[in-house]
Amino acid sequence: MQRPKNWLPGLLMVLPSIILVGIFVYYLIAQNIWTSLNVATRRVVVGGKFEERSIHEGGYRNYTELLGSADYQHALWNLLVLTVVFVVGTMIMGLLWSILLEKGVRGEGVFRSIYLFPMAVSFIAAGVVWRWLLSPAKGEGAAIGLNQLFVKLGLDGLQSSWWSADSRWNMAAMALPAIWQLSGYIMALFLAGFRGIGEDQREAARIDGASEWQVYRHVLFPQLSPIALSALIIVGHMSMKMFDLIYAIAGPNSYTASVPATLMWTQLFAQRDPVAAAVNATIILVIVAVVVVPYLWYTNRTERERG
Amino acid sequence: MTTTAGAPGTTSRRTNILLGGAAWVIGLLFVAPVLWMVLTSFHAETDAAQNPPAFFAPLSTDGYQAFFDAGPWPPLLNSLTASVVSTALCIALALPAAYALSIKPVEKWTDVMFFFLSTKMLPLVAAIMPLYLFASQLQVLDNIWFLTLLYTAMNLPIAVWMLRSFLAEVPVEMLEAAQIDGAGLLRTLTRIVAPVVMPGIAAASLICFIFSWNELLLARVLTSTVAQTAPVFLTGFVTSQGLFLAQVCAASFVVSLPVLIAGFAAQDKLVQGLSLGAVK
Repeated sequence: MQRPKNWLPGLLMVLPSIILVGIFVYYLIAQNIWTSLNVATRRVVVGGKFEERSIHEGGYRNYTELLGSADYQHALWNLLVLTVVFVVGTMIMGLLWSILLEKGVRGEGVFRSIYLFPMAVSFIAAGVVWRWLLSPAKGEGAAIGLNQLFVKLGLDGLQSSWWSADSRWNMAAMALPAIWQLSGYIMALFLAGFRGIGEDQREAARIDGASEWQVYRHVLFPQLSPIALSALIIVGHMSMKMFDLIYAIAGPNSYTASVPATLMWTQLFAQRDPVAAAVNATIILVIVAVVVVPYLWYTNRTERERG
Repeated sequence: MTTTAGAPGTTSRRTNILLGGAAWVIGLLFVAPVLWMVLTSFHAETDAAQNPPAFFAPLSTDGYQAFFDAGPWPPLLNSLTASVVSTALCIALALPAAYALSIKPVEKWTDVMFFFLSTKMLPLVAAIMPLYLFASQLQVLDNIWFLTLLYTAMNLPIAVWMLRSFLAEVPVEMLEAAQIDGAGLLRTLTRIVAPVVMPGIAAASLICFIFSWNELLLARVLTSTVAQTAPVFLTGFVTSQGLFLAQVCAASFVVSLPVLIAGFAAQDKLVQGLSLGAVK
């Protein structure tokens, strides 16, 4: 136990941040959960008279009601497709590029900035481009964007309606701009990881007769797994919170491209139903927490063991 | 292809050219969307709408003219205010916190870090409904200073996390040596801590600035006419002028420019900060 004299200044230095973040985050979460359990009625006109009609019974039934609705299940499915494609795509691209750069390609600085800069562009701005690239029109003359490129290259078969497709897998196309934006970040993480492994370990493996692939497989990749886990969690939770991208490309009220986050916008502003929006928000929160909390707990424990 | 260790000179050279080529191809694919945006923005509307796009048509700044005629300056200024002030506030709050959490460890500092990180769970969408009610009660809707405060709170956990990673690199022996030599706190801070931490501050500021500048959701809900920020203005512009590709591209480019410049100017620090923030 340290003497009070020692920890008090430290605490005072941290306290303002704790208070500000605490109010911002935990107050809002509490308010959300509170609202989500409310009873709600809506005033409707029946036979020329106003009548209060119940739209939410309150309590846990608000949750079963939303989770049971077809719209919400559609949104959850979309989120799943988006997240899986986005996470897998970003990890693969990020890893590939980090290997390219790690192998000592000339002009590393240039490539690093090229790969990273999509991250700085706001999704509203990038969305303008991607909406054009992923426009659904097909065929000679009508096609624009990527479809047109495929027509020009004689690859007509590759044309697609992208995210507007009437398919259960349409959100895979929505992951493309997201992969474009974040692979550079994952690349930077992996690159830092590769740089942290001493050259002597590779040399030792090579002297033992390991092929280049074996060096990666048995020496480098195992040491990268903590970084890969971090990257996975970062990208995964970003995907679950994604809003701007879909807002910019499909608009906030699109049904085909709806995910819980955009559906919440619809519930709040188009349907004027704050209770449903709060239920929805709480469910998103729980999903993200299920992914992030075990990771944080694990990191916290290892940090503590390290001292 | 086999890359045996036999003749490192020739093989590695060929591999290098191959890898370099691959890196260039991917790099080009990567810049292509933004390149298209910039090219289109400098063309006349009729050429921009051509199918295929007439990239080699004469250049024109009509798109920019139309964008600047729409009155983007107040939103751009609002964005600048909110981003710069919130970044400054963020660093001012995060620096002492990170210092306390790394150099002068608070009891159970891992729990404190856990607390900061746990806030990453909250999806911003989940915050807008209670925030809107809160703001209307306090009558701070459409107020740029309220937005600035929110951005500060939003970016604070990341700033603390990043700065702590940098401060953890300060050699403890040097601090102890300075203490033994009788150096005061100020001297210790300026001579030993500052050199290690300056890149960290640059990286954290850059991240905070980019996040605040690009933030759309809160701004879209909490501001309307007076405190409108650049991304909100841009979405409005895209909605109303969506068919005019050159205008929309010009608008997107102008709004992206500050972060692109900031990102290029400090990309090394950005990489360093980003990787440290997640690896540690």
